[in-house]
Amino acid sequence: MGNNTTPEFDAIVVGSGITGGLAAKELTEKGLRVLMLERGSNIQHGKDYTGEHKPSWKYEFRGKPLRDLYEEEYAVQSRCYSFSEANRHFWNNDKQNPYIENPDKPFLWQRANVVGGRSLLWGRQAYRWSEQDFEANKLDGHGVDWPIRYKDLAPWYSYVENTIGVSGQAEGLDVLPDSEFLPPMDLNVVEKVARQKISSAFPERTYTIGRTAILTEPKEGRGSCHYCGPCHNGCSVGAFFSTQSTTLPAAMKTGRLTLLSDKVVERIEYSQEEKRATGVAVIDAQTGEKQHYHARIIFLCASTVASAQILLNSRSALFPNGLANSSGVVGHYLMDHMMGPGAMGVIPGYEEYVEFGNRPTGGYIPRFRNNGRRDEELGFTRGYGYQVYIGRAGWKQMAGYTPGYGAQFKQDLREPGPWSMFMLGFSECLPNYENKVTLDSRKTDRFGIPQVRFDFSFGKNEAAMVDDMADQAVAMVETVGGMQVQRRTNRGLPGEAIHEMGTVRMGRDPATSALNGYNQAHDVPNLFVTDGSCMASSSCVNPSLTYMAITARAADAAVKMLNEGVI
Amino acid sequence: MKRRELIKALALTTGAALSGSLARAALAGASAKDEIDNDSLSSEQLETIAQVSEMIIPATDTPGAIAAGVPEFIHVIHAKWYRADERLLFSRGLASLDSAALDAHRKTFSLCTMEQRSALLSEAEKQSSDPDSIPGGFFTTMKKLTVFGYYTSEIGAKQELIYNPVPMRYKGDYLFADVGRQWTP
Repeated sequence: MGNNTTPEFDAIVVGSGITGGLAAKELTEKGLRVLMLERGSNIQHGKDYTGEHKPSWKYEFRGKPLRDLYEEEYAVQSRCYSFSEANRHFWNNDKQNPYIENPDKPFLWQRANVVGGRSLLWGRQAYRWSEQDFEANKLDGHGVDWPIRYKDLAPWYSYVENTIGVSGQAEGLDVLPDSEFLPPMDLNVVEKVARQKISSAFPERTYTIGRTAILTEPKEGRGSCHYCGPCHNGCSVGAFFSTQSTTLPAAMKTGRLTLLSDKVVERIEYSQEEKRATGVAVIDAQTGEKQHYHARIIFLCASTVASAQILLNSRSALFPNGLANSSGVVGHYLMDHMMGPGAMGVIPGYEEYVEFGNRPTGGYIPRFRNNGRRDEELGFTRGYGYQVYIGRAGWKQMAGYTPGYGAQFKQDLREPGPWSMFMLGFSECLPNYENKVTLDSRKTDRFGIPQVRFDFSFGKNEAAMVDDMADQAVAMVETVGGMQVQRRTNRGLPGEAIHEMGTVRMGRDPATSALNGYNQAHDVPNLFVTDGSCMASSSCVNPSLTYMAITARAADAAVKMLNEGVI
Repeated sequence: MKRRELIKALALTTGAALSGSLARAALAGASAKDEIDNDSLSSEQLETIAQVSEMIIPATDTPGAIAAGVPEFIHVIHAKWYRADERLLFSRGLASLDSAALDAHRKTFSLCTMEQRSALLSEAEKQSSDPDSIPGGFFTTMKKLTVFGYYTSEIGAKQELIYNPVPMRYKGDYLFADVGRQWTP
């Protein structure tokens, strides 16, 4: 242990999730001694995936929710599609770690509370942004201009894809640039029909396999996908990308990583004399003991809302509005994808076919609106894409629709139900200063840290997209042959897409942004923020691959700056 | 006094056939808190549950609900997962089956013959589209519980379905005729 100005580590990484784990890997591989701090408890790869392959009959209630427990302790998390008894131990306990909601404007803050964070739970969809995504703010004036462009990130997308493994089908689309792909998973028989019929009826639209951070061939000690189904219950094969499967082992291999779990970062400490961040003040989640760690640089990767919370809680006389917040933007410009509008229908026929294996990705239809031009008659700027699920109903869904009981009923349930197609739209969300997280010092959590208060609602542009998202989905489902087509305009709640971002945004001007083009805080040169909080806009595609590319690029820049004595 | 004992007592003391309407009146008069014991299932009620579940998913070329442990599963759900109001509704449903059986055959459901029980259950099924019908609602509840309990049981998963937690590959155009059953993870 050193004194206040001699750091015992070269770098501290706050958070061990999608970006934290990658930052730790990059920095240790480049020679730095790194301390990675995780507020949650440890989850060991394989050993702690207690729900992986646990069959239904081994659960007392066979998978039915533990209603009283979930309402009492997991009121927000239990609403997530992937939450169940099999993986409850990954999730945040809402009773122990609450936040303040506005009952008139709910925001579902869905998160883990373990090493690996949401990298254990994520949907694994991996898409590159396009040039138009990075230019969007400048072109239509919403938000501030990104300080980087696609060409800056393209080599880092490649780097990350070659590191983590992304499978998908190259399509040559400007709106959805191809990744360095592992072989794509197969489309099923009806998806092949959908792909052909959709591009025939709508030449500018494409149905492609969902691009996913799951291996389709073995890679560097990780196994290829076994098509079990519920990745989010744990994958000891290591087929999908997570901290546990990929970045943590790589960082540990260098011998330069110290990982400490159950350490809540309360504040980042700043020295006025040295004009730099010196380290972090930490509270042990189990014992309550307070500790300090010091480093030459800090990578804040605690996730969008948590990173803003830490910065806001790190205020001082020099930074009365929070560390690195002379611009006043920290906590503001919170975005989440507006998810929900679309369509579903039954696709008659093809009943001699079923799917063998449980493919862990659906299909995807990339954005086709306002592409390279503004379609004024639509009434909205930017666009949306769809996640698509085409499959046959099994016994669970069919039992409710199958009349009768007895031997004939049992026999009838043997054959799966008809094919159906479900299109779920995800739209871009514009940055809005009023959408924000703030701290409420009157309500502290069990560590004495002020709780986060959400204040968010989707805006006019998001609302303007709903009808078009639904109408186009109906048109495409009908094109594929859909019957009994339901037009869906249901909007998910804010937070439900689980793509919250924007609270510590990048920009060219320190007056209107917190970070520069290398994710370096304008105010604090040795502080880098590379999780979803850094995003100046939201695109409509799943963001994690972009967070990772940004992280790898920033880590590269940070180490160069360190080695050159710039920071 | 428990509802069941009330009906038996009435039948014995009158020495004559207990009319269904009298049984219904006895039921209506008994409040949830007083005469009807909702929190546990009597052995006769458990027998009824077993019979109904086996009628819904019988033994065919694969085992039926009883062999798959469905009655025990339903008992666990009733005792440990259901809330008080759900147990009350369940009890009323069971009672409605007995009431109909007494009406038609002067015996409780579990004491009827197989043909009689079959007709009674079909009658309950016919009412299942009526949201206010207690027997209809009970039929729907038993069907859901039986299906869920059966296909999530080890026997259901391994003998009626095909238990395949690690498929190892994906094929999007597999012929159903080559397998004839669904897989379960």
